[in-house]
Amino acid sequence: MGTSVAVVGELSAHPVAVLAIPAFIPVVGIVLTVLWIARQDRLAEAAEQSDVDEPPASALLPEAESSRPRRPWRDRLPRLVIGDDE
Amino acid sequence: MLDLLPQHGVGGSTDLPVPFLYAVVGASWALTVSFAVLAFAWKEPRLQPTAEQPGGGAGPGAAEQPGGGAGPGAAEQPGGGAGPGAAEDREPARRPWLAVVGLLLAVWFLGALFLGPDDASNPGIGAFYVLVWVGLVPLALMAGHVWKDLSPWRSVQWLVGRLAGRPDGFLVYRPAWGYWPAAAGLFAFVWLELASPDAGSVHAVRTWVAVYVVVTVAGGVVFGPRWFDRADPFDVYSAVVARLAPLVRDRRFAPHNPLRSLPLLPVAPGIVAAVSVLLGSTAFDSFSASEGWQSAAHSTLTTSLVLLLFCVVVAVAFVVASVATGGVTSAQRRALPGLMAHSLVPIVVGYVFAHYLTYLVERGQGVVIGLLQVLGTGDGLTVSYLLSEHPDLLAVYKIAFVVAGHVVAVVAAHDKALEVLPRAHRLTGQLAMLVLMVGYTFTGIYLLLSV
Repeated sequence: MGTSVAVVGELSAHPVAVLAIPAFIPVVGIVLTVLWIARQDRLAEAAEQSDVDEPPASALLPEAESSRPRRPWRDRLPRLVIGDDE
Repeated sequence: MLDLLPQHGVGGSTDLPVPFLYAVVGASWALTVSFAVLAFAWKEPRLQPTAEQPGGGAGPGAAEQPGGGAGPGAAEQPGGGAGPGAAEDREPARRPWLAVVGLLLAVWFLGALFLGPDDASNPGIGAFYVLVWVGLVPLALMAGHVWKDLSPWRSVQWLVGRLAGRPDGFLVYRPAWGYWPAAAGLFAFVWLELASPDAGSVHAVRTWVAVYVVVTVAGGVVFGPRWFDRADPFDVYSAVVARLAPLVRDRRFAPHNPLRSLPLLPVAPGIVAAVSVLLGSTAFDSFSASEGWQSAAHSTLTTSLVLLLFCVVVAVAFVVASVATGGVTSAQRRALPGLMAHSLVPIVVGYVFAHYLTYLVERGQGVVIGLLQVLGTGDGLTVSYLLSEHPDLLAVYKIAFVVAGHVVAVVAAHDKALEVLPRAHRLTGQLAMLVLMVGYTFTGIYLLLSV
C-alpha cells in the first residue's frame, strides 16, 4: 500500500510574478527612499520660507540656521526639493 | 534560412549553467545599485560635449544652460538637438576607396543572392540576415559609421547627382519627417525576418532587397544625402550604434570615451520609434521562440500585430518614463523622449550581442564559406562551434552583455537628466526611467534565458 500525501493549501503562482518580487524589491526601496527624501526636503524648504517671512522673535536669539536639526547624512545627498527651480 | 531562424541566440535555460533565478534577480539588483551609486557620486553632468569634439553640441538649450534645466533651446527646438543633421553636416567626406570596396561587396552579395540557387542553400540569404543585419553592429562598434563610406546606394546617388547637376537632390528632405522613414524600413526588415510567412524564402528576400534598393536609391536621388541619414534603415542603424564606438569619432580614428559621443546622436522626430523597433523586435524574437508561442499556429496578421505591439510597448513605456518629471513646461516635456533616446542604444547593442552572438559567430562562418565558394574558393574550410561547445562561457557573455548595456544606459540617462532636468527634479525625474530600465532588464533576461 503506497503512502499518499495530501497537498494542503498549495501555493501556485506564475513564475514571472515569483521572480519579479525579489528582482524589484531594491528598486521599490530606492524609489520610496528618494521620494521620501524629496518630500522631507520640500517640507524643510517650505519651513525655511515661512521663517524668512516672519520677523525674528529676538535679535539675541541664535541664528535660525543653527536651531534647525542637523542632517549630516542627508546633506550629502543631491537636492531633491520638488518645485524649486532655482 | 528556415533552419537558421530558430537558432537565433543559441541556448536557453536548459543549457545555460547559470542559475536562472540568480541571473534575473542579480541583473535587476545590479542596475538598482548602479543607480544608487550614481545618485550619490555623480551629481553634475560630466558627459557634455567638449569644445574639441567635432559635431559636438547637445543643443543650444543645453549648451547655454550648463546643468541648468531643460532650457529654452531644448523646448523651442522640437527634438532638442543641435538641429537635425547638424552633426552629420560637419562630418568629413566619404572615402573613395571605401566606396569602391562597398560597391564590390554589394556586387558580390547581390550577385550571390540573385544569381545563386533558388533554395535555402543560397549564400546571399545568410549574407543578408547574418553579415549585413547582425554584422552591422560589431562593424559600427569597431569602425564607427563606416557604413556611410561603404554604402553603394550613396555612391550611386553621388554619381547620379553629379551627372544631373543636383548633388543635393531635387527636393529638400523635410526635418519634420525625421527618422520615421527609417523606423518604417527597420520594421519592414524585422517583419520580413520574424513575421513574414516565409522568411527563409529566396523569393521573399530577393523581393524585399529589390524594393529596398529601388526606394533607397530613388529617395537618395530625389532628396540628396540627407535621405540616407534619415531614411535608409541600415544606414541609420549603423549611425546610431556608431555613437558607441570607442575608437572612431566622425568616421575617423580618434579614441575617446564612447559615453561622450553617445549623447551626440542627432535628435529628430521618430528617433525613439526607430530605436524601439530594434529593441522590441529583439524581444519578440526571444518571445516567439517560447514554447507557448510555438505550440499554436499563428496567422501572419497575428504575428505581425504582436511584433508591432512589442515595438509599441517598448516605445510608449520609454516615452512615459522620459516625461515623468516635474518642473518642466509642456514643450520641454515633449522634447524629453528625444533627448533621452540615446540611452536606449546601449541596451539595443547589449541585446543584439546577447541574442545573436552565436548566430553571428557560427552561422557567420558558414555564410562566409558559402560566399567564398561562389568565387570558387573556400573549399575545405569548416565552421568552428567554439561558443556552442562552451555553454558556460556563452551564458556569462549573454548575461554580461545585457547587464552592461543597461548599466551604460542608466549612466547615459542619469547624465542627460542632470543636464536637462531642473535641479530640483534631477533625481525624482529619473525614478520612472530607473523602474523602466529594471523592467527591461528583467524582461530581457527572462526572455533570453527562459525560451
